[in-house]
Amino acid sequence: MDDNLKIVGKRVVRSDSYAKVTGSALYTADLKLPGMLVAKVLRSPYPHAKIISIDVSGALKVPGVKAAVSGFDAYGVKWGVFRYTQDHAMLPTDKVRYIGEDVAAVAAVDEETALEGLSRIKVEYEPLDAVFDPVESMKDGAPQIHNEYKNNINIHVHIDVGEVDKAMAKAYLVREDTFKAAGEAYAMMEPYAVVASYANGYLDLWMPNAGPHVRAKALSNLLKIPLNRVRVRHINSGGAFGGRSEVAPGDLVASLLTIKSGRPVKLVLSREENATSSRQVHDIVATVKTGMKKDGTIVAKDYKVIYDGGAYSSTGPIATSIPFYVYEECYRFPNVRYNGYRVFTNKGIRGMYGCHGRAFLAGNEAQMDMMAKELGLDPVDVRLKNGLTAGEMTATKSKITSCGLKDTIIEASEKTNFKKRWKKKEKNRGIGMGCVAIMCGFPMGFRSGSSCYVKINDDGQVTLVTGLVDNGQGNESMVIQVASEVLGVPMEDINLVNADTEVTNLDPGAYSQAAAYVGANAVKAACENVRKRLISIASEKLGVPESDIDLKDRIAYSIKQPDKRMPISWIAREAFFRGEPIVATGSFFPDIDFEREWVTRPWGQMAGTFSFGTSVAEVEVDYETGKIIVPRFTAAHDCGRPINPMAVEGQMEGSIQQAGIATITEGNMWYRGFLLNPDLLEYKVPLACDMPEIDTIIVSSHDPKGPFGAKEGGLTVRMNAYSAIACAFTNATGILFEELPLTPDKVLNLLEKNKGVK
Amino acid sequence: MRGFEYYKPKTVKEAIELMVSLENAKFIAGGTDIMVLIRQKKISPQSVVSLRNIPELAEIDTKDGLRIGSCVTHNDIDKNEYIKKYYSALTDATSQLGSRQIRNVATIGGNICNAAPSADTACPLLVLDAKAVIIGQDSSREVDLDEFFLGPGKTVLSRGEILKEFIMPRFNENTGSSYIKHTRREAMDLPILGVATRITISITSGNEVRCRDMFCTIDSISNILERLKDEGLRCEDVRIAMGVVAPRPIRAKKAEAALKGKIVTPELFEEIGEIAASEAQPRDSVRGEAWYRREMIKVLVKRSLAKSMDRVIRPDEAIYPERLW
Repeated sequence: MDDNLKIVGKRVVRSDSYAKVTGSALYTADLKLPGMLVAKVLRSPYPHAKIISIDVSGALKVPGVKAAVSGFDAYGVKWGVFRYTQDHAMLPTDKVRYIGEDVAAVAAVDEETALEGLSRIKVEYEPLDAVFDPVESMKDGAPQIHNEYKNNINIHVHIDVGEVDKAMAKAYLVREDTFKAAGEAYAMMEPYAVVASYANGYLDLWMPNAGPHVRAKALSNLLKIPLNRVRVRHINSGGAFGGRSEVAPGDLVASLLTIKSGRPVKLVLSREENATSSRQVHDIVATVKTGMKKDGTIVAKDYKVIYDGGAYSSTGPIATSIPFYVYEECYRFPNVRYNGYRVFTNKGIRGMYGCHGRAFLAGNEAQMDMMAKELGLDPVDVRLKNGLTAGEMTATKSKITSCGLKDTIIEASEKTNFKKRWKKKEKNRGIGMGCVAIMCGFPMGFRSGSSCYVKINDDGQVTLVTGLVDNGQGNESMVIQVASEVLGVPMEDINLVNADTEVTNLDPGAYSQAAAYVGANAVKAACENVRKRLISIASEKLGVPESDIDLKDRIAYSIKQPDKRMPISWIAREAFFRGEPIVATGSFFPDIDFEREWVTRPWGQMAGTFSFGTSVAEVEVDYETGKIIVPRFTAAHDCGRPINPMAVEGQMEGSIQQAGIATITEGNMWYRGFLLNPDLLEYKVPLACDMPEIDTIIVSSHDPKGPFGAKEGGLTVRMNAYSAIACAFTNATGILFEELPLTPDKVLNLLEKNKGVK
Repeated sequence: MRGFEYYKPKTVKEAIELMVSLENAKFIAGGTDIMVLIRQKKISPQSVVSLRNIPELAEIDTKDGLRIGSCVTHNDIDKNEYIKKYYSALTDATSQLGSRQIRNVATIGGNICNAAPSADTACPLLVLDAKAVIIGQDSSREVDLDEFFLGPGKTVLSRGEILKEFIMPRFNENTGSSYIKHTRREAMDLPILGVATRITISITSGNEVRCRDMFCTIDSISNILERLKDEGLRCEDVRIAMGVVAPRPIRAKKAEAALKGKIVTPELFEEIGEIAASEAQPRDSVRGEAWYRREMIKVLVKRSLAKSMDRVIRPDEAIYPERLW
């Protein structure tokens, strides 16, 4: 049926669009429950200090304050994604490790009372020496942030494939450069908010989150409540970008407060708190050494990458690995060594980011162009020569099943006349290209798969129940579209119940690009099981063989004799009469090597499939002010088959903003543990008026196992747009970037330092 | 955020009387600065007196020079074709301040009374020789804008005084002005640096400027000026003002003096940039480091002067490329 699709592959209006554009969609901060209290959090003023005592009794004396808690009211459990990373108490009792860390909290009848309560909490600290730079933090004698981790090294990922030193010695051209990048802010439209309500031993929570099941599990551990009594419910999410995959300190704070007070509690972070105390992105220093043959073939890569991990482990092992993997999934590295260090510092908690790893990835790509130039080669040819193809294995033994990398490189370069413009560049102008691959789903143990339950109601309308999550990228609409295709009913007939831990099964969540490949596949499988039941009854009733029946526009009909037909609702009712209602489940579990482990065994099949993409940026550099302007940006993305091309294009455009233009504007700024730009005035998220002309090219590679051939909808652009900008800058100026973002002052410095280079 | 009493007087007199009688009160016009300060707990007034319902504060009068009421919004100025043509620097500033939503409510008086070194309208008003008309309980006075600012957030206004309007003279025909706001984003940003200039030129060679199109290039400013050299353009009068380079918006008076009466050459512009930079005391901030600001003064003073000259030479055209400048 793939070649004759009615809805999949069409540019449909997303199921959530109407509510969102009219403002009727509700978010966590909109929720109002009877008797609900307002929570406020007292935060650490020190980057590193021993907690001598916390006394919340003063707060409780303020009329209207209904509960006050600190870490001493919690259960002494520390959270970590992995057994070896359990170091985050969320409300510390031993010491504070960053400015803005949650220390105590109150719930009161209104905000003013809550703030009054906060001011009465007494905390006694003993300030400790702090360390803010990961390189300093690794040195002997640096302040120890956690006792368990020597030299503050949280994670060391070591990968060594082939014979790097030998290959490097034999290489025709070797180059080593170091690149830095400031961590970005997620800057979601919706600052973090949570509503928690505890009654009769059951805890209900609403918050923007990318994985309700992981969230519930963490809270179940932290609160010592059985999993089926911690219910994380569905609510619209105003963006995640990787920053809402893990349990947040606010989740624990709100839970403790509702348990103490017996009343629902709402906590809404301010924009500044969202920046300092929800999650941040890793600052990175990447040293990239590459050996090339004379013909541009990469023979060896040797990497040392340092990630500023902030105060706690978070998704440490994953964050320390992903930039490397998305690159080795793109290019052929016969010999490669990767040493990734995630190092603790006295800065805020850090997590994965949709654009994670820009120093590493942009550094690799820009360096490749410098080497190509030196060898008299062209960036397009070098990328084509080294790019992986379907059927090949990556250096760490993942098989590439479908691969449109070559097509994305060719289409993006032809559309932009890349080769000619790169070689004969105009004054002040440059063009650059970045490539990357993305795994569709990380290995997450038994959470790597998804399942779906479907029922046909007595009016023929459909209910889908799945753990799938939508953070705004359109996953909900996507699975409705898939179900609509399989069941032959319009999208508006389908009600989706999702992302609620008590009624849905495990799902990988929306933070590892698994929603399309895994989540939609489970929905498709369930709907196909329902379709079989529908067709079986229709065949019996219409007196035609099952193979002759198709479903379309709410009707089951004979393909050969189209006047033999009956509404799907009649079939549903017939099934109810028979005492066998039409319900079915379906699951999908990707083909992943579960022996694979991020630190101890970094090889084996990483994901069921991989997407590929190429971005091309054009820049103009103002040599007098250092300002970079991006007049045009072209992105080609191999998403398998696009389920909704309009949604894929939207993701690509957003990625060009968040990874591409952000290369010039975005970066957190620090002074000794103080985040200097926690607001959206000084943290420069690019605006609509800063955006270039955009050209999006969807390359359809049709994945053999993806739902209708789909893989994922646009993340490659999020991880190669900065590379394109960095390469274009190099093409314009002849200079490699040293540090991102490429703000005007940095550009002017680089130009000054490299005067005479052309 | 703490609550406060809110008053809506209908006349200037009523507003002044309220302000004198109330404890810990603040005037509010558009509120785009005051509300931010209250949220940041930098101020916590018990009462707030709104000036938005006083019609006489919201007038623009172009009969003799220019009079702009203090509660005229940035968007009102933006839409005014007369201001755009004869007081272009001001439109340059109002069109780039904040966002459309902010420009719809933020007032020029508020921008000036907030007295931020980064106030966008301050530099244009300085180069346009604006005088501030101040009304007190039983007196009124006119103050040169250059005398108005005392420091960051500080002005000559005393309690019970209201900034009523700005008055600007009509300028000689061969006058152009401009404001360049140097930012990292195209909107919703405060300047790293702001430079405004006003220049009156005469053509000493007696002819029309031969090559009007020489501004239509993406060439560097020194190349453009190189070609203008033979035209014999003389600077008859000039004002240069700079924002975010000192505790308050300032005039670069030494640079002005060095340019006035001279024939425009690339070398002279280079020198003017250097002099202007020497008159500034920029500091490091999140938005930009001192060294960068100092470098940018040199560039932007030249660019703003060129843009102002361009507006004399080609009065109906916008300088190209707008995006770079």
